[in-house]
Amino acid sequence: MRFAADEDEVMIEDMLDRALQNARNAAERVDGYAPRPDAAALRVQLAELGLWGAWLPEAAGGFDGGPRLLMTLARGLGRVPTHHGLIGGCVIPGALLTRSAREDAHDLAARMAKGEIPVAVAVMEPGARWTRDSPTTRAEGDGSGYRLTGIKSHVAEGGTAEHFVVSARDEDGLSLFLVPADAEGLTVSTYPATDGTTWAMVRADGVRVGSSARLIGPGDGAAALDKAFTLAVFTAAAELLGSCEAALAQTLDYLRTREQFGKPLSTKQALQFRAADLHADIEMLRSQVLGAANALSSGYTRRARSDVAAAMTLAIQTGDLVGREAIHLHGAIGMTRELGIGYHLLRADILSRWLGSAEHFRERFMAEEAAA
Amino acid sequence: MNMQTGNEAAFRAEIAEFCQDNLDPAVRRQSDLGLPLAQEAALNWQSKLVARGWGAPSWSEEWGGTGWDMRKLFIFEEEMAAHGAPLVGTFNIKMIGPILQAHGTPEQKAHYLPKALSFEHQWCQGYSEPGAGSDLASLQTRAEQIGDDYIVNGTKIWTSEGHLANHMFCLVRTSREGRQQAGISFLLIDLDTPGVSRRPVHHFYGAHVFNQFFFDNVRVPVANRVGEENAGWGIAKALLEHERLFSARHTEARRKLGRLERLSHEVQIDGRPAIQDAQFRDDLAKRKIELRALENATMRALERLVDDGGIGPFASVLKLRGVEVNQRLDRAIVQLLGPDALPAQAAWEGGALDGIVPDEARNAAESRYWWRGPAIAGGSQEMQRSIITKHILNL
Ligand SMILES: Cc1cc2nc3c(=O)[nH]c(=O)nc-3n(C[C@H](O)[C@H](O)[C@H](O)COP(=O)(O)OP(=O)(O)OC[C@H]3O[C@@H](n4cnc5c(N)ncnc54)[C@H](O)[C@@H]3O)c2cc1C
Repeated sequence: MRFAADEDEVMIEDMLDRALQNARNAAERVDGYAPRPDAAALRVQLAELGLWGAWLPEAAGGFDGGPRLLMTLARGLGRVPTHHGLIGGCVIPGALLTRSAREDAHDLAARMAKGEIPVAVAVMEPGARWTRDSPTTRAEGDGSGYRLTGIKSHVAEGGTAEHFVVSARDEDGLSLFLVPADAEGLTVSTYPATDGTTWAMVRADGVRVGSSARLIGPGDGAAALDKAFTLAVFTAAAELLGSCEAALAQTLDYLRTREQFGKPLSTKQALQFRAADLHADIEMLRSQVLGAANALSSGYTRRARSDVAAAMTLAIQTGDLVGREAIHLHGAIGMTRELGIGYHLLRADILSRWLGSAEHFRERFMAEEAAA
Repeated sequence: MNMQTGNEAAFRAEIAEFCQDNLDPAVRRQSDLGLPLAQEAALNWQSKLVARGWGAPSWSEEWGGTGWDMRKLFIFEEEMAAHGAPLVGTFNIKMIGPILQAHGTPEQKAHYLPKALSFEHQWCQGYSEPGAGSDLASLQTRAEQIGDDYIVNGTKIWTSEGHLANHMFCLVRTSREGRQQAGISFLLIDLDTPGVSRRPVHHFYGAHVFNQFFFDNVRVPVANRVGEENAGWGIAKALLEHERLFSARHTEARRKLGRLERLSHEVQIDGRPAIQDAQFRDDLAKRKIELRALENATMRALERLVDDGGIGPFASVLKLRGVEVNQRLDRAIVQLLGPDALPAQAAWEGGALDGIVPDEARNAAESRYWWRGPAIAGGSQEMQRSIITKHILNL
């Protein structure tokens, strides 16, 4: 597979960039923040263009677009600050639901392809960091169904979802259950994260669900989660690539126009060299994200998994560096929500705190390499 | 009273006791977490300090200071910080107070110093302008003398705490002749004067920290000028040598280390407290070692100050590395918190985090974001590097 975008991909990139630019230009300032497109409307628009869920299988309303298309979409979204919800509201639940044999699971996935976010995935637990394969949440047999008890922390898109995919353990292993948000005994408390997105803590206190609630598992529960999150991590790396590109471009524009000591800042070699380094780092990140996309496109292999871990490691490191430098090179104006360049650092932080730190992915990388 | 090695321990104990008796544990907790203090609590703390004669330690005794020598002043600040005492009214106590004592007229001193000490006046600093940042000398806000007044027109930006202030000390252009630096005067402006307006400017994580002020034909009595006309640059630049010792901000770094170490027992990595995790230990060691060196560098600077009366461009070394040490500690804290660093400060109000996220996570992310600022303010890291290249390395 080639690294360069093929004709279709170039067309899609253009279409996406145009749609995102329009959305950005039409967006209004809320609370003095730099304009951010309205996420729900943007999702629907991208869905109508056939982009939002294109990576999903056809049976679930997608076009079998695969990782390359997902990468293109995420990278484009990374360039424009918006609470898009792609990873928590489409990629992770989409990857899980399309694996389930349950009929209505595919209907839910199809709604996702249309830009809705009906399902959020509740699989993190207090104090467990990024370990998802040994939940303390229990599923106990109760007549023909189950009773779920436990606490799930930091649920992306959890504030508005109609259903949760909840991981829980019984004697046989880890299973994923589909639980309606209004189920009795389920408490959803929302909180704002540092980038302005809304998250939820979910407490299940003996929540009763029917036997069909078990979407996946017990045998393949952990593996399904792992696969869904690998795709999520890949998407995050692509988003951060777009985020870095946009942050550097905006910073270069500023350096060209900002004058101090009678000259544009862009004429200072100390700053030129820093920009050159950032560019080189972003090129490395781009290469690795493309490499991961190609590896994933030919299957969920060990090589693909180590490529994704490598891509995310670089995305976190580079996202953090570019995010900080973009602020710093702007000077004080870089510190303001009115300008909004700080969004890129906020987002790099959010993605790494949620999905795993650079250290975490370096370890994942080594684990895949060692087993090879 | 000056500091002998023998009575240093007694002095430190005295401060400890004062904090024990007077510092509200809730306020201490806020400083430990780097949270900003409410106005009322700041006033309250200042009144306790003033009652004890410690409201403005570096000022002369005549105006409510202590007359302590450099070493004692240093120990005082260090020890206060170590006990979680909040730093309050920096613009009043560390900036305008010393400037007025050095350059003010007797009338200015008598009018302003007591009110700065009691916080009846709250000062802010109006130096930067949209077009004048690192190149401060290019500032354009002008003051034209008409009779007994200056008429001030222009704008100041990035004014920290300007929304809490009622007075501003300000650099204005009074001449366009000769070098830019030689046409700047230092003015005191009552922010209630007609023609002054303000707009808030927010941090990228949302908090209201900055302001922009606009001056539209604002009348400021000539009597409010500090020093001679066109001598403002020198006045603004002469920060007290004693204050330059704190360029490294090592006391703030120590508080951050405190939080990191507390968390290292609370947060589990792979089922064990983080402090037992080899990789975390190595990272913690790095943070502790660089802070240890920073503290030694600061003590060296103190020694030099006592011996030679100044630390010169060494302050730039302290600032350059001190900011970085602080920033890396902030980063280590959010790294250790992992997912629990996701919530914004406002999240703590809704109850969603109760029993799930450790209280030590409060303000951890925001502190990291806030600390991007010191690398830009007060002479950016690039300006410090320029000073080092020029004045130390002679390149
Ligand atoms: C947290 C914070 C609080 C502040 N509080 C106040 C306040 O209370 N009152 C007040 O008056 N001001 C305040 N300021 C403003 C501060 O003094 C300015 O931000 C500072 O002087 C830098 O100016 P600038 O922001 O315009 O950046 P610029 O000067 O435009 O610089 C932009 C970037 O270019 C770099 N750069 C500039 N010139 C060069 C060069 N020659 N070579 C290499 N690199 C260069 C800078 O280091 C920076 O990274 C505050 C700023 C911050 C961040």
